[in-house]
Amino acid sequence: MSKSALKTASVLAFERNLDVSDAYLWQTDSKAANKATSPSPVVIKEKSVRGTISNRLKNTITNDLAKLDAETEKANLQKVDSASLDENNDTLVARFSLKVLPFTGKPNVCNDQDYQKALEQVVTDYIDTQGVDELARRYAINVLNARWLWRNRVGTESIKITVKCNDQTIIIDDAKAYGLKNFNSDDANIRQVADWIKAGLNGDEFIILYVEAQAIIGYGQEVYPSQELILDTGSKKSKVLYRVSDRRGSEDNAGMHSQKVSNAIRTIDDWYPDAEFPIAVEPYGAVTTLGTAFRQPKAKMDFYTLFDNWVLNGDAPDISQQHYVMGVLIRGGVFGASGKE
Amino acid sequence: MNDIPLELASNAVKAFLASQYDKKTETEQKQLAKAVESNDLLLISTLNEKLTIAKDKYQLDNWMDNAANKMANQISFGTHISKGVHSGSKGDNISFEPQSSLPDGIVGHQSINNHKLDASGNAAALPLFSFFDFDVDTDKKIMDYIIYDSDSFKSCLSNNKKLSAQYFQIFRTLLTGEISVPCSSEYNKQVLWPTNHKTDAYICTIPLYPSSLTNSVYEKIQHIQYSNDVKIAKKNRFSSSAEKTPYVTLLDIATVTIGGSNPQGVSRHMSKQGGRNYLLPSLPSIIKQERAFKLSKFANSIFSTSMEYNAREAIQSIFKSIKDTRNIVDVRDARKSAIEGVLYQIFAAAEDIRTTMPAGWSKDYELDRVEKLWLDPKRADLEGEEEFKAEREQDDAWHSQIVHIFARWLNTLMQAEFKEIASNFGDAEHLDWEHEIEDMKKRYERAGKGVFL
Amino acid sequence: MSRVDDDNNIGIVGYLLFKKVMIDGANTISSPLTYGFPAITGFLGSFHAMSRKMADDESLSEVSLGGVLLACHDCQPQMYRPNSYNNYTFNQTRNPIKKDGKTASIIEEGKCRLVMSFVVEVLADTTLTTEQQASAIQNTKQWIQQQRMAGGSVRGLAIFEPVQFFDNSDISAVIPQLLPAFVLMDAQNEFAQIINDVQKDDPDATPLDALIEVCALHQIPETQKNGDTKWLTTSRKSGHGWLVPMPVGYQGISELYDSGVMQNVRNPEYPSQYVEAVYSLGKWVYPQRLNRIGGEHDIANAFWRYRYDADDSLYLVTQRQDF
Repeated sequence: MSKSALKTASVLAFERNLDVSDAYLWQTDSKAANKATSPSPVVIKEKSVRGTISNRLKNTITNDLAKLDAETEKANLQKVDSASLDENNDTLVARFSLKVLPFTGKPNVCNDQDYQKALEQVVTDYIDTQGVDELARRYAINVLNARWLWRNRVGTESIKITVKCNDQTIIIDDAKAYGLKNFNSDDANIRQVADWIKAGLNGDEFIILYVEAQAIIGYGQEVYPSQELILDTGSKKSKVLYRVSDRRGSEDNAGMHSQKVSNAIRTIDDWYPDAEFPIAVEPYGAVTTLGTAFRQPKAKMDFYTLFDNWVLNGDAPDISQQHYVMGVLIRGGVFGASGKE
Repeated sequence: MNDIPLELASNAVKAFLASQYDKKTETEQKQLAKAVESNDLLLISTLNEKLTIAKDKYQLDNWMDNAANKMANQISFGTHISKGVHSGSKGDNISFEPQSSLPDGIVGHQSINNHKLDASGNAAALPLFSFFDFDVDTDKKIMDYIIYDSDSFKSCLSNNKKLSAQYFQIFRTLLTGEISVPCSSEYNKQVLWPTNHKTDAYICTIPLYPSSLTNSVYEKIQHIQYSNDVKIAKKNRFSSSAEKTPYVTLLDIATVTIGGSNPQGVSRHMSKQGGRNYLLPSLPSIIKQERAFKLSKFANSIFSTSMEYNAREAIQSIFKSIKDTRNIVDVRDARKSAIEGVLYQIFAAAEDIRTTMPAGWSKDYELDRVEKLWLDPKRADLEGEEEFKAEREQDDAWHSQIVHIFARWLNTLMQAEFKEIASNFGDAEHLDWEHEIEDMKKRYERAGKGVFL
Repeated sequence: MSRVDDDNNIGIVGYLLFKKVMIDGANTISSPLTYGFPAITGFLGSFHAMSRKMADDESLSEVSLGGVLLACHDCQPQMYRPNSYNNYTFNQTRNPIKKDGKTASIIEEGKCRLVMSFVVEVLADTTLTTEQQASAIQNTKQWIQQQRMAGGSVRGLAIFEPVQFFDNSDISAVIPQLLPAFVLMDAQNEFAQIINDVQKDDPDATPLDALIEVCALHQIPETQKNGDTKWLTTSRKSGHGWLVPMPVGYQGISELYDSGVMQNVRNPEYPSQYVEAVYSLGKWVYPQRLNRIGGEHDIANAFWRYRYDADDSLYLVTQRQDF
């Protein structure tokens, strides 16, 4: 059978190979005499706020002064969730674990044997010629530069990162020294974490990384857990924050969603057209916060175009796009032909 | 069921077309009436033109031709639909006609009395659904006769006999969901079911969304939660003068919305339900503790008044079961289960301490050594705690000591409770009770320290 | 009663205990009618996959896994309700935007965090050697962390002796290890009885009505002698223990298609069939209720297995041993 006769499998799915947990938020004091005391949870509190009316008002109201006064003076009573450190704590402690599962190119589901063979060959070739070194290095940098703290990273005095794997521990005292803009950093710590991730992806070893950040943000400062997407919060509450709990009696422990942490770890794609900053690996290069997709199909740089050309026509893209395509497979997802728009 | 005379079938079809015409031209007809009143000749003529076109559209042969050859391709019927599983699915819908009943104690599609067929597809094809859904007599719709293969309906869908039979066949195939080439989608859930342990044989099962069943559940729960009778009953409960009537509440129901902001894109039932479906809870009775059990630094055992408070409900039910002196299986069962409840509380509190307190916490506590071994397991791995580790791992006696402390604590509680009624409290029951504790003790001793590790 | 799987020699030689398995993001919407605890099939599937991995392992190729006992220590669905008189909704995750920058429509999911212990039957034709036991413990401990379970990720296991092997004769020693938890038992017979009771009161009631009845509390006013009203709360399940509705498998709703006939299936090499979930009742019991083999609450009856009945097109999970 000639290569061009190959079709994309109608059912094709990959499971994620970087399995990230929720991040739990804790707090402690950097100046405490007794360092041995274990951190306490950051607790989400509900507060009532009396907001002001700030939305644009209807013309009929703005034109009538009496009505306008009445309307703007109306209390906009709302409940919101918020989280901050206690008065006597200045350090946010955030912890998550990262499981690295073997990446062989074997899909989780694929209903076309010929296609699967071609696909696995492409991945094998990539692993033989490139290896997962570059991807592992970039993931490692994103673990160590604390990108995954998102808004909590902004305005911190300093961030210390600890990564444990098996019996080894590495400590970075100043995570902010690694920038967020590029992946030029290189040192022994990055290489160590990258080696662990590589060993996990290659299936040499079963790898779980336990990652902890200690960010000094100041006494009593506000902390930013994930916000819940609740379709019906009722009329009285406008913001619900993510409560994780790993124990009884502490259901209000603040956390960050695993998807959010994982999005930061795979923010390694600076290979898209006219790239100015790295974005998360996504099939169309979509960045939700910016409402933009940076890899439009018309530019022929989206995952499906690159991937189909590579697997179906044996037309390998340049090295950096190869990294991108493999990054999408490691991210996982449903890529078959039967469900496509 | 029986077929109806041709004339009645034909009348039903005509009535449907007339009702559609009226519904679709309601505005124009009203405008026409007004225009006639004001003698606006120009308007009268444009409206009449419009109505003639509409009349033509709802003329029997024209409508059926469109319905059978266009609408029928844009809509799919079923009791079970693919889009309910994932709105992106393009898989088949199924009209399930059960051939067998379900085993006793199992609920499924057979468990609803009158199921309503669902439909999914293009909105432009919905009039076809209305046609099928049109009432012929009190309890039968046109679709029932088509599915029944009614000869009368077979011959009244067109003035041309052959065409009528052809339309009928198209409708019937559509309604009974006969599938020529079954086609699923990667958005459908698919589950491999092992059919033989020895030979690695599987069947790929593809669960569809049972929208006839869920629609029935939706209506039942909607009635229980929001019907007028229930609203009044709830209101009257708290009014001193009103007559009180019983009502039903449902615990911990959840809703899930199918189709997001576009439920009509999923199916007709979803559209009617606003996408909302109700789910019943399957949760175990995990006891939510109001607060974590707090261990005092000065307590020498976790079996304390504080624990008594923590497990008060379970302890009360032990008292209750002992006071019930009828010697029947139910009472003995209740007694056993009450002790189990206390044990559950104790292990839950212990688990909380073990997992949330930092390693070595017990160093500053007055707790009995054996309980420290149990409750501070991570201390064994600290530096300088080799002795603790050795005691914990090599010594076999500490766990049975804990069981003894527990049994003594429970016995003391019992004796305090029954001191005053000791005279009514026969020796037999007392022995029975002690036997219960003894039994439990033995069981835990036999299991060894594995339970405590 | 035969303790053997069927007429060949493969029998239960022991049990593997997986202690305090923490699972995040498990699927809490267990069927179109139920939520809370994930569907039993979600757990059986994982252990079935594990059993297949054993077949490829040198030292365990003659060993496989059978029925699974489910003990739930904690189950927290991620959901929200503004007030106790509202129904719950599931917290959703924001999905990546579409290529045109618009938000993708939400396909609702429901997730829960779980802490579970599992006891799994170990099947073989001879007793396991010490090496095999060690290898089974070692391997399954890693596998369980590498594969998904009920749609979620395994975050970790108990710190001490997370996986243990118990000899066939030693099964009752497992029971205390399951504390504190609830074990899921089949309550199909009790459900049949409840359906009867409900139909006695209302001849028009269907088994589906009985299923809803299990979640219902009847608020009944009773006029006292002094004219005051006292409200009684009654429930159909009182006296039965903690009964819950749950899915127990599927029934076929189409013909069984030969392999290769249905388009877009994951595994064209196997036959396929459209199915719907079917429901019954489960009962959560304290593990101490269970006891040694042959007793009233024989622990051997607490293991869930797949069962396929071709004649009635039923795919059930069951604790009955006559399969």
